[in-house]
Amino acid sequence: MNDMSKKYAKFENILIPVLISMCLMISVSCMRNEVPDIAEEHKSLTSDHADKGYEHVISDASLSLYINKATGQFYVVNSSNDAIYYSNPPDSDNDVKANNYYKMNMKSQIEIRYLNPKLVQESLNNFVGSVMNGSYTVNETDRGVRFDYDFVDEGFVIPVEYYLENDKFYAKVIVDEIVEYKQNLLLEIVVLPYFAAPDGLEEGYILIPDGCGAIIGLSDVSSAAGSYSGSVYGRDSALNLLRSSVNLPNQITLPLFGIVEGDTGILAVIEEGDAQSRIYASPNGVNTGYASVGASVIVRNSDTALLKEMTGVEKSVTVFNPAIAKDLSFRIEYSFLSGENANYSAMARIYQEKLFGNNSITVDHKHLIADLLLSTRIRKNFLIFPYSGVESLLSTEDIRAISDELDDIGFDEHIIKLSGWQKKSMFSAMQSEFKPSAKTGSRSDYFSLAGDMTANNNILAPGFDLLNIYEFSSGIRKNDAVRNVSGGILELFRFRSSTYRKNTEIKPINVLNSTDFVRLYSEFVISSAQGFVMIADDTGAHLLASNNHRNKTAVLAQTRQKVMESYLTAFESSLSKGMSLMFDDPQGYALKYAHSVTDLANSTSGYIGFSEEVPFVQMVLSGKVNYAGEPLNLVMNMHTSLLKMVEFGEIPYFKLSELKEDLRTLPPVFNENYSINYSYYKSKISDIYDFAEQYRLATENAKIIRHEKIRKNIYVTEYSNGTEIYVNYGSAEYSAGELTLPPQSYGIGGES
Amino acid sequence: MTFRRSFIIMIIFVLIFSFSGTISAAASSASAAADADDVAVDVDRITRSSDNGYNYDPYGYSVPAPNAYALLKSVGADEIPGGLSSPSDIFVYDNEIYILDNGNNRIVVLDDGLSFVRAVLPAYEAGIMDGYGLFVHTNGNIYITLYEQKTILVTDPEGNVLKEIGQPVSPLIPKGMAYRPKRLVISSDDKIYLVAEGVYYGIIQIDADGNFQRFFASNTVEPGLKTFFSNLYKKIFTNEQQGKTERSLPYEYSSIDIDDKSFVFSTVSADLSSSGQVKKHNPAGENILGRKDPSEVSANVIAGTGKYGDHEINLTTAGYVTSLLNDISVDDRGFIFVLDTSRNKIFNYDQENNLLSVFGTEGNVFATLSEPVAIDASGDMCLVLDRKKNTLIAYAPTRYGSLLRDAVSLYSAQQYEAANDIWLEISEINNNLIIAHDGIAKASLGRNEYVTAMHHFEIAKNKTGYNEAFLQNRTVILNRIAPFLFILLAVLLAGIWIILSRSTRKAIQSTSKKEITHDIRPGYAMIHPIDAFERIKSEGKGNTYYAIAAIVLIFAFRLISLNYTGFLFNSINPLTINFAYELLQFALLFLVFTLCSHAVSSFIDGKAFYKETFIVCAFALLPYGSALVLSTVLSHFLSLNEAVFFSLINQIGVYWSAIMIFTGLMKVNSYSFKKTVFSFLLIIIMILFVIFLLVLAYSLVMQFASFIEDIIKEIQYRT
Repeated sequence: MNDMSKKYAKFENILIPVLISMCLMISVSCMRNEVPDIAEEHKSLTSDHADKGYEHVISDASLSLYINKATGQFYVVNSSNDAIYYSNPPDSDNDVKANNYYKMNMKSQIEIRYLNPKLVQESLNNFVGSVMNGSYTVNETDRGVRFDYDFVDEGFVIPVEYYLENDKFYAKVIVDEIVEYKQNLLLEIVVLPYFAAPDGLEEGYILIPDGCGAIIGLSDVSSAAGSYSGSVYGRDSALNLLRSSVNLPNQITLPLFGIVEGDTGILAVIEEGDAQSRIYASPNGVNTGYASVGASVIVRNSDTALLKEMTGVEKSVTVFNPAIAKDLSFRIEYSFLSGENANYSAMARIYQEKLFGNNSITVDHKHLIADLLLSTRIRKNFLIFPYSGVESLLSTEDIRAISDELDDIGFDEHIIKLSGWQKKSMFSAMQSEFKPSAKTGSRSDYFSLAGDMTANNNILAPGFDLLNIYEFSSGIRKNDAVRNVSGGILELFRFRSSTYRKNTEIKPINVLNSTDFVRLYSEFVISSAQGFVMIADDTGAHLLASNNHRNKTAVLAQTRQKVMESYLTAFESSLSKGMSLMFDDPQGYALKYAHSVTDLANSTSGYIGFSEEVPFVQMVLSGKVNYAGEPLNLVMNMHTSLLKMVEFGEIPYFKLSELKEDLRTLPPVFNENYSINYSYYKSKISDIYDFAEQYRLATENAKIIRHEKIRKNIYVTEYSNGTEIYVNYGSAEYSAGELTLPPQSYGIGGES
Repeated sequence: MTFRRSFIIMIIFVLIFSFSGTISAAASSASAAADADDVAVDVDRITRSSDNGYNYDPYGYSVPAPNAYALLKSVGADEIPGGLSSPSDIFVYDNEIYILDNGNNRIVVLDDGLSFVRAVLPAYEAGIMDGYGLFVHTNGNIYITLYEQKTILVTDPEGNVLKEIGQPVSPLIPKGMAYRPKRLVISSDDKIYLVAEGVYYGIIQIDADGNFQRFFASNTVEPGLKTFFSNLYKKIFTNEQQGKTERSLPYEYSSIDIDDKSFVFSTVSADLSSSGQVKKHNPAGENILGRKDPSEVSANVIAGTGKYGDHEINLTTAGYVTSLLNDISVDDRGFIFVLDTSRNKIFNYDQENNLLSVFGTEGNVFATLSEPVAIDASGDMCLVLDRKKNTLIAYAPTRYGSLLRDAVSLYSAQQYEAANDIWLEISEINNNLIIAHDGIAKASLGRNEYVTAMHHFEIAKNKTGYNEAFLQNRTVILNRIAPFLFILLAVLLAGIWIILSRSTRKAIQSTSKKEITHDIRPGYAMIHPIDAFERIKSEGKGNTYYAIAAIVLIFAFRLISLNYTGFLFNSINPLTINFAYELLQFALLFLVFTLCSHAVSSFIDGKAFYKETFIVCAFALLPYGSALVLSTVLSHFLSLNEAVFFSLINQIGVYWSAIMIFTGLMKVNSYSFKKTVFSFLLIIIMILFVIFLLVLAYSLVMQFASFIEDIIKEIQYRT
């Protein structure tokens, strides 16, 4: 062999093994990345499942329901992407993080909470209470399957139906047909707590519309987090609130939740029984190896009442409404998403369409909302006799001047809400007619002003509260007030800032029943329609209290669901009379009827397990309703709130008035408005106009279609016109491509 | 060979590939970690505080306020390698934050950006699991108090043990004194001030070697009912019997801090009956917080109570839940932060005892405090250590908080004019903050704008400041109107002189006693009480309608006084004036007195009818009522310097009325002087008895009503 040959042989000895290795590696790599034949896998799975007792029940265009009649477990196959969604984690027995209690729970489809005869609350799942005993019946229906779980020892029969319709899966509790045949009292039924529970192997999150919306990551949960639960539309106001603190129950604005795992997702909407429902979630690793989320229906109110409250010898007792909710249905609709729809932005779009009927932009866009406090009540003397009198803060002329100045600043097309126009100012006798205090202006002055403002594309809207009873009058008697769970008249207390305990020095507030609310609402709409095009409801969109009146024949006794339905009647009636509605601090049930909303939650309850707060509710409203967060003059940090306003697509909102020099401090009840002088904020409103002008121009006549956290402190919101709003909350500059964001600023990108 | 080599190369290549896969997995894991950091809640994006800000109004009621401090960062397991485990103290020194991480037997050091710098592992065999307090000397040495081991451990900056300081020994230290070292500070002259559990005698002062020097700033037993009965007990019972009872001991110090001028600040963890729980000690140990010198009375904290922490309290089955102040820190600018471990809050004071803000709250949601144990300040940040959550929570001032700090700094330096604009802005941001009005008032005073100053001092309820502005304003007005005033005075005097001389002439002309044909009028009774009351008895000239009119008038005078007394002499919260309550109180007192008086007269053979007693008492109160009106009018013209006149007028009214009642009852009952005195004693006893009965009856009725209410509620709840 010559040298060349030797070199070649040497090269060959190196090259060939390298080539062989590369081939091997490529083949290994190909094996690793091999796209699984899901159809085959599905076939094999269904075949496996058939072995495990699953039977095909029903199919529609893209979904198929398989059920195991022996265990009550089922799964849904989405043939559009061959994803399988199990009612219960299939491998729950091998979950190393779950103890036996949770392993049993993971095999159940419903969980009940009830009061035993000693009035102690207990819970039980259907696997232990019914399936293991074999005390249940299963019947196939023309659209799915119905289970009747008989909890023999506890004495309940609970019918649940699972079915498919229009490519959606439904779980329904037929509350009307629940049977109680022992002394235990059924309180709540949690439905499908582990449906499609992600095991955390893939990236994803659980979406909960707590406040503005929040996500619980599948893999990055705080170790301190426990389980989550929250009431849809906030807590029932009829329940006794012992302390006003940060540990208040979490408030869920919209009746839905979502799961995103990899490129699939589920959007679950509580379609029926939403006002009676709660949402439960547990991050991955907290109780089990799975992240889980489900909803429940409250079929009977129970509460803790205190005897001799705040006396040092107080004693708590459990109270309950003897009547179980009737005429109530509870239904959850599960939509299965995939690909680009498997994220919260798409879910918001889907829910928007469901709520408003379409995704088109219909909002009558306004640029600013100002809530003006026209009067306050202060202590006065008539000669030597002290009394509580009304002090005027702003007149109609002042309002006109403010409106003109807002126009001059650039905030044309604004809304001015009137607070404290009543004869006795706010927090006093209920007025179902617009008869203003003469100290602030006459009725005709207001109507004239409203007409002039409407002509300038502005809106003047009187604020009103037809739920809180501050004083009983000839028209409203004690018997018209809502009853608490024990059957007594509901009293809502104010709470001391320092102790979070009830402030018994301030008279408690009662709540008007929904029937009278509807009547007075109609009266107010008729009265206001003579001069206004919009009214601003201060309480109807969030003060939702069940009426636990013991007189079963009286129309007064109503579940929270029925109360909500009454409210909706009032809202609908208002719209039908051509009167637009503005709501304060709204919950999801009212959003459909809103022209504008203020104080819309733009943060969450602060549950430790939340990975991120997202503007889910805002995305649902975007393009449909004008929405504003907290009053910018009363926020903790105005600049951060402005950035959030830009990120969330809000419009600026202020609560203003003008305190005279001799009235620098406001009396109790009014003193939450600690910073409201228009003369002080006028220049700041002008600054805000300059700050937000670019954002406003870029996003006008567009709606949010995507929101994303790019990295720590950097967020992007994309609009339907292609505009992307980037917000940098951090203290470092952020650059991406041509975009450079200084700290604490926003910038505009995209294709608009 | 060739094949073998080829095979080896192939294997190596595959191994490298596999390894690279591992590296890539590791990298992806690191990237996941980075992502995990990205998905954590962004604190900078938080717009709503977990706690509602508040402060107190001048009457001691909590009022809403903007948040002065907001969460800056929560530092825990994600930021500190190994996390924290049951940490117990923090100390800021030289831009570094030292955390006593007991559970991990180490001291964690962070930089002022709250990033991990290093961990110091003390080379101490027994460990520092029972560490309580931490102090870093200016020479870098670290002092750790070991609670169970009753030792102060001193290490160098690397953790090498330099010395251990045990329990101090001295004849001054009582035998058997419990000793558990908690927190310590060291002054610039190397004196160690130590707070220890079980030591009621004060702060222990030792030298650098641990030799006892003295008890510094001894607390005293606060006088009160409990102390009174305790002292009484001591006099009555034997030592053995006393031993079985609770001892009255001074409150124990709970924590300590020191500022750059070596002033020691301390807290005592005391119940609601205490005041002065926060102190600033001069080198003699005297409390000088809020005082120019120690002899001054403790300055007001909330509504003049002298109490720190929360003024409003909870009453629960566990009793009163009040603030427990268990740690203190003073920042570089002299702002005092006090940690309330009972309610998980931080109270922020200035050095003049003004409560500036309250922040933090208990809870189980994000950015709340579960078990705060220690507090310190770094720059503008306030740092709180949470033992249960194993986190260090940093709060930073909001814009409002920063303005407040700037304004107070200027205010404390008496640069009122410079602070004025900031105070004006603060008062716009928080109308409820009274201290802002104090600042504005002082600036106005500096500009000689007395009326404005008086207005703001009145809102701030600062009587001293108001008085100063009032005096200046009065002088200006008097200077302006003095000539006219003296002319008016001369005219008045002339008029009086003319009237008096005519009266005198008339009096001389009519030497005989004038026959009074009509009933005695209240005005006549005021000037001629003996004659008037004699006539009421002997001639039956008393008129009940006049008496009722007099009572109505006096009640009206009382209301005038309540409503219109000038600010300097009026301490009543106008919101609490209740017409019905005042009427009931007045009527009840009057009726109780007249009825008791009548009852006594029946008992000791008095001759008065109830009507006569009623008329006499009603007429007799007129001087009191007139004095009220006069003092109310004068209260708008007098300064605090002339307060004696205000009191004098009221006292004259009261004494005059008392004399009239005395003479009136003597005359209508035909008592002797001695018998009248005796009857008054009986009346007082009877009144006390009647009040006792009324209180008892009221209490019983209320209890019965409450009992009925409870039964109704219980029936309602149980059915």
